[in-house]
Amino acid sequence: MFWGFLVLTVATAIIAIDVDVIGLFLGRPDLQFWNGAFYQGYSLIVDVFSIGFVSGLVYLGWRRRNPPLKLSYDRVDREEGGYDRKGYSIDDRAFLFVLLFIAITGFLLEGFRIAAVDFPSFEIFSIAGWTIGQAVSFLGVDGAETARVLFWWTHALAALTFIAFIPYSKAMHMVTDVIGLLVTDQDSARALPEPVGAPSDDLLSLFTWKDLVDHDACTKCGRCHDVCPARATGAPLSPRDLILDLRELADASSGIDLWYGPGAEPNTTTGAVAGDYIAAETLWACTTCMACMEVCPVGIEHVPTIVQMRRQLVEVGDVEAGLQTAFQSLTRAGNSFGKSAKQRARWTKGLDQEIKDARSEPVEYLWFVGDHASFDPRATEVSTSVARLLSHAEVDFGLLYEAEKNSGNDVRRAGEEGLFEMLREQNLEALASAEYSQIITTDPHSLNTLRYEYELEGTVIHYTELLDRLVADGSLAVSGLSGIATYHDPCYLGRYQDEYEAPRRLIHATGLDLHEMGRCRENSFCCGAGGGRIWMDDSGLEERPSENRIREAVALGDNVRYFVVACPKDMVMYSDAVKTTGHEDRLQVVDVAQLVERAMTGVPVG
Amino acid sequence: MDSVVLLRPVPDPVEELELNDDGSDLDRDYLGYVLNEFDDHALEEALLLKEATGGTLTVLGLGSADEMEQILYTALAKGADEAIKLGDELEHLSISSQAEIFVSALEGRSFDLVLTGVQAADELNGQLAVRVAAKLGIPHVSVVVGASADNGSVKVTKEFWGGITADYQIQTPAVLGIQAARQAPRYVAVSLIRQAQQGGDLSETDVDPPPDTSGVRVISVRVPEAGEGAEMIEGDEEAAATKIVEIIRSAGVK
Repeated sequence: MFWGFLVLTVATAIIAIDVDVIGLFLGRPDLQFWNGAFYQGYSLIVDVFSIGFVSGLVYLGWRRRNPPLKLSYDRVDREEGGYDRKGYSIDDRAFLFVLLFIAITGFLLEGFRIAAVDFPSFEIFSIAGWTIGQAVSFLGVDGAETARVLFWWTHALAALTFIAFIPYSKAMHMVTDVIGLLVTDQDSARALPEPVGAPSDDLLSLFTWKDLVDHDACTKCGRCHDVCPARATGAPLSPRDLILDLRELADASSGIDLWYGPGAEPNTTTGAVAGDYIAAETLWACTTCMACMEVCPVGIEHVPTIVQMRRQLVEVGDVEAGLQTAFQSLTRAGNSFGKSAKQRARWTKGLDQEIKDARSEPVEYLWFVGDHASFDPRATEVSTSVARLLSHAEVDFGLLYEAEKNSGNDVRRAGEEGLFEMLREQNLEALASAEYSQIITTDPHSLNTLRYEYELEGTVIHYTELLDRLVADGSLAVSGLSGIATYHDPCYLGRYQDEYEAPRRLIHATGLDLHEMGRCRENSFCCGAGGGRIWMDDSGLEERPSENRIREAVALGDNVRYFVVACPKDMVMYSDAVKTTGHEDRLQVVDVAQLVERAMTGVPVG
Repeated sequence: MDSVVLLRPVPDPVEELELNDDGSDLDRDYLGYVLNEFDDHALEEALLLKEATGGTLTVLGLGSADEMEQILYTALAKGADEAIKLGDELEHLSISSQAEIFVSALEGRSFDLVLTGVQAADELNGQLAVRVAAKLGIPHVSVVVGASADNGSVKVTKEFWGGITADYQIQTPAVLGIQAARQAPRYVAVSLIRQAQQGGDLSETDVDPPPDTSGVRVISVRVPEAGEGAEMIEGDEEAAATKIVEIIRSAGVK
């Protein structure tokens, strides 16, 4: 589509320059270059692109007869009726039709022209034009000339109409996408931008001009709608609809009158943008997994937009109940479990040797354990495995003990910027009191925030990266496991940190065979825990994202026995999900570190 | 409607509670404090009343713990107009002394309502609201689960046993012991608490602890003795039922 459109526009423009500007206005036919072999080659290329263009348009039109999910404008966040987007589907079709009309008149025009000059042999390279010319040769040279003039005007008028139609239609994306892509910041979900503006009913004061350009860039391709784990599991959020809602509000508040389709009304909810116009449940539904941003072809930054609106909700105290409890525990004790800070390192009690206190003696690796890996019994098992592996490989490492606080990754993404700042200050103070050369984290969410939002000097790595190095240099000798495993890429390790290989190399090293799920690597499907969702109530969902994911793994076949994870939150979510989906006997949720430990000590798996 | 809310910090149950050497009290040296949950509800109810009727909202915080300042700044961030810290060591105060201190801070102040939690984690007798009302000689209702302003008087809902509720009309000024606000205490963003802190609108009134006239003295405090671990009953329904019957029989039931 894009290339066909571009090549044809350029081709037409070149003819215009050649014939009209150079030939007529400048009166210098000797400078015209539209002849000879150049012309023939060009004709062939243009015709091939044209055929592709038309076929593409016909295919796209055909696809819309029975549209796939991503092209459906059915709302997930409100009852159907009254407000819908049939105007959008009409516009989508009109866009295709106008383009198809222009392309076909172009072809006919070319055919008539070739017939009108009685088929000079060099024109055979205009393969489509030649064929059409042959088909209409019964008109004779004069008849073809009349038809040519007629179609020249039709084609030109259609093209001009299309240009006039651009600002009112989907075609506007040709302009907005260029700007959007020029200013897009693909790291904006990793290091969230600072808050903008106070809670308000004025959309324009809540977002930067860059965000507004983002909203205008949406082409309604629906890929984000397709991949969003919230949308897929019955939550009232579709990233596409959210962006389009914001665009409509921006247009309406700038006095632009839009057409929403016959009988369809815009969203006329008044009040605060975050909480009224966009419902709070919609905003809380996001897991910040970044799948939407990964698939968006035009660089829209959905996650920062959602976080920005969550900040507004937090500021007016409109906070989901579970989240509120977590925030209060975090304010009081620095962890979301409501436990005393002194209990943070209690999980280390079962270990043979005491882990160094990095605040009192220098260590090479400072291990930032994170809340779940410190307090949740399912995840502390993994922490003890990691500790034993590091000790076995004689790695010099230590902890911050009770001085470690929640890193604030989820807090920040849940919109509690002030609490995030407080936690960051406390952690930075603790880190300053320790002597270390690198930080390792268990939680990929902490990894992201320490890497991107703490402005630390040393490097921060994930424990799978360190284990991968230790296996590669022989510090940990592993082998001997057999069986088939599948691996779930944690959003914050894969999409966020681009680390896909270390966990996979470790799984291979243990001897297990890896069968990939369809949605793997950058297309991984979120477990549903990110962005503070792990603290919120998900009883309203049709299916938890983690259950959806377990079913995907089960569908790989009976022989897949291990569901391998590399994130404490995944351990928690999937240990639950194998039980609630009744697949506990078939599929074992196991962390990469646990596999490595089993392969090292030779204990048979499972 | 002008309200005053009385706030008390209580030991934070997140920390392990230990006894002091002579076993007469908790070991308060290592204790953290949080706002008494019922007082938080009293504050919420007062905020709802202020939103509905206007007027001023003052909070009085008892105790000099660091946490008290945080509690008062949080109240300011939520919408209180004035916060006053009544500095003293809370642990040495009997409930009658606490009431005495609050009353002396309330005297000379004009208000329609005084709200406080119906009880506290370390004061289950529910005495504070009663004593303050008695000392001021004004009406009082406790176990209140909602209040609304009604033409110069106040209508309150009180909860009885078994979920029975009754509505009362009460002349102002009056004292309410709040069991629960109409809605869960609101969340206030940390950034707003920090703003309140930077504003620093906290005044402090030193109080001399009044002589303890309660006539009650703590002799000793004990922690609950740990019982034996629970026994998990394994097996199918048949086996489990047989086992349960066995346990009941062995306990002497024939």
